[in-house]
Amino acid sequence: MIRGNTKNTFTLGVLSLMVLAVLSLSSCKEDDETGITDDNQNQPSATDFNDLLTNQVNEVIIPTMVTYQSKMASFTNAVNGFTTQIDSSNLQITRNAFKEAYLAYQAAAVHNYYATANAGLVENTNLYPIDPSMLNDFISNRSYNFGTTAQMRANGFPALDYMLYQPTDGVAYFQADGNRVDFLKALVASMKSKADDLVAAWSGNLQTNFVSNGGTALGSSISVQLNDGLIYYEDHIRESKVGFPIGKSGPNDSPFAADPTKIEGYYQSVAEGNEGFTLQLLRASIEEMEDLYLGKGNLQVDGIGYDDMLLIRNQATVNQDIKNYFAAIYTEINERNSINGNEELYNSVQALVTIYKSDLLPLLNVQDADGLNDGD
Amino acid sequence: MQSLTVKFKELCFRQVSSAPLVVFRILFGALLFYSTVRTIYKGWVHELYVLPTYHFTFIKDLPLPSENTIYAIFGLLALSSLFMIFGLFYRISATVFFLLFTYVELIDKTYYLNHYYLVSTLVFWMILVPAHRSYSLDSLIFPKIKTTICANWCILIFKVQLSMVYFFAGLAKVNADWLLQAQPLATWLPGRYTLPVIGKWLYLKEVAFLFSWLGCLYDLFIWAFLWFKRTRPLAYFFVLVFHILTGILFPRIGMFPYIMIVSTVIFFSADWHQKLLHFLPNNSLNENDRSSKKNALLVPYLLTAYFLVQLYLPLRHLQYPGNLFWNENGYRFSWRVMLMEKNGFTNFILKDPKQNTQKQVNLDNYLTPFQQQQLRSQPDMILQFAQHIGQLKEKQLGYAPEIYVESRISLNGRRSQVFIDESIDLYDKGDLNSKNWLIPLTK
Repeated sequence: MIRGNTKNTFTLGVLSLMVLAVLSLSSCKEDDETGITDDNQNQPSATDFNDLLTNQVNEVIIPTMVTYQSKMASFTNAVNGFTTQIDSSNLQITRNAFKEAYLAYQAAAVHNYYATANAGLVENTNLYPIDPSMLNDFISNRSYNFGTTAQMRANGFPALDYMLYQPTDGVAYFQADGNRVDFLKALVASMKSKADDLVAAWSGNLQTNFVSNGGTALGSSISVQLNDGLIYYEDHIRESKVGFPIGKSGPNDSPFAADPTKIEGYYQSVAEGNEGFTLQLLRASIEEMEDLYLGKGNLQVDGIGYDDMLLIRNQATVNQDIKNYFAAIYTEINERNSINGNEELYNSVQALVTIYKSDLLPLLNVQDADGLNDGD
Repeated sequence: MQSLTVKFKELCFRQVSSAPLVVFRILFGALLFYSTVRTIYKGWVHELYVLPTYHFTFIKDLPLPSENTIYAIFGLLALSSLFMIFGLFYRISATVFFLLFTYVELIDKTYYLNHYYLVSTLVFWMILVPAHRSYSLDSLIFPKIKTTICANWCILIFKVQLSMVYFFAGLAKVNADWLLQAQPLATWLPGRYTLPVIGKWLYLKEVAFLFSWLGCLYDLFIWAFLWFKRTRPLAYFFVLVFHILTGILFPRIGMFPYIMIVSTVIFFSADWHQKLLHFLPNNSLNENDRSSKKNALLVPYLLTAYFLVQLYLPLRHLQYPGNLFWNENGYRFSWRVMLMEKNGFTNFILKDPKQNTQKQVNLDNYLTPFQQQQLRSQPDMILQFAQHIGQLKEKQLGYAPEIYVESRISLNGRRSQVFIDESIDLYDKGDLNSKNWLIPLTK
């Protein structure tokens, strides 16, 4: 008897809880002020993700590496011509080829993940400012290994920038010392071989693995491309190209002593009396960052990119803001003739970091860390 | 009123078969053992408790273990769970497991999981119930304790606790983000497209809505169907389907599906459990089956008090203003699972008021990537870390620095919004109770 009553009381309890739940459920229907974009929003499908990754690797990354490779090949030819016959005309040809290769490098370095990161492209090719006395020691001792960390401050484009532009008479500089010629040839050969390796690696298994490593979790191609791309952007574009020369490291730091000699392509800018090329290098890296975002290939065909992923998720305003931030950086670059000056260029570069971290990554659910234990 | 008390006492102390308890001891003990060994084997003890130089402790000044101590703790956890399976020094083993496990969970908010909290609550009750009086080494060593019956409350307590977990997890899903926007599932599911068979359908908004609504209904009601004999087999079938599916979709939830699959076995009848136990060796049963009633007076009060607390905890957020997901006042310890995708950036700015200089704190120097990820969106952790950095710096400087936080967070598919008031020095004016430094979610 008592048992039956208990059961009834219990059933009653369950039923009233159900009613309570249904009531709170229906009451929440009146609240549509969620701030989330409209109910009809769509989601990117497997095809969209595959298209995105295929486009990134086939149309954005590999052509960028191929361009860098071909510019390095031309540069190598120019250097060979110059070292066979050291004269001012060949020096000029070499300098022009140097600039073209340096510009092409900017785009390749933006993809500083997977094969590019493994090859140590950035560390071996573009750390500046260099240490001229270290460079001169390497040259005169004829002992150099361009793949080592010991060489880092006398390597790559910054070392070439020094050799091709620092001497007042470039022809005399090379004619005076065969070690310099040998160093120049060896360095350019090592850079070209790295460019060849990059094209081979990206066109090998990585080309298919990049697409098959799907999803947005930590370690997926999307997560690697966006997170490592952002790390490169912060360290090597925001800080190295702009922050250090103007005396700023990190958006929230107090200014420290500015050092205009820390700009990229410093010796060239001194020799030619302007920072036009330095600004071009910055612009080239921002343009590739934008191409990565838009999924734009070398022929400037706008394929499926992260902008499209945002659009599919009905985040048109975020997409527009990101595009505006890119445009604002170009405006800043166009309006000045030196990296140095006010902080507006720095701030415009930083604005992109902010919106990537606060909106692009969360809205696409791209993870940058993984719980090592069970999450819930 | 009196008759209700009488009925309650009758319900609690009715003598029933202890078979469900014995099966629970063995299965849950095995799960605890597996989970502990897995944690050690995967190197998580090192990653989570040895590597970090700072921990977001739940209790201020909680003593932190050395490397040797934490490994000893996990060794003892494995040993005590093994003892629980075999019913050897059962109450001591369960007590040791409960205390050490709970201590480990209190070390860092980063690793807080509802199912760890559930393990703590279930093991707490395991200490108090006689799950070791048959099919156990204890009953071999101490034949006097042998019995196959127990008071009804010893089994009810687990069923009620598990029911509350489900119900409150379901109630937590009754919100506009979950039901009207299918968030955060709509954010999470498309990225799981690489899953075989179902992967290609996961991007559909309809699927996100279907999963959201079914998940909500499942949590709200499944427990009720587990109580009744007629609906139980089908309900348990759904338990299996639901938890295995969530385990596949969200591998990061790890042990959670297994904990629920194993612990809900207790809803099955005593006969059913007895049949399972027939496969185990047992020493002949004591003819004088009896149950101790020495704590009979205390039990009803303890049960009532406990469940009042368990009712209060999931509902305590109602006393705080603002959006629960944004402010997270009363978010933990209330069975809120998988409800949020909350991410963005959070920078700490350290200002030296005398030198008038400032510097952004490099979090890599203090926190692991996992800690940084969790810190970003959890207000109490942000305040805790600001105070920690402030104290470290004050020791160096000899005077108080100022700590400001710059943060933008995106919640459940919304555009990001400013999270923390950048003008408030959290070292000086950061008050956990008022949280006036938190910018309310605007929509």
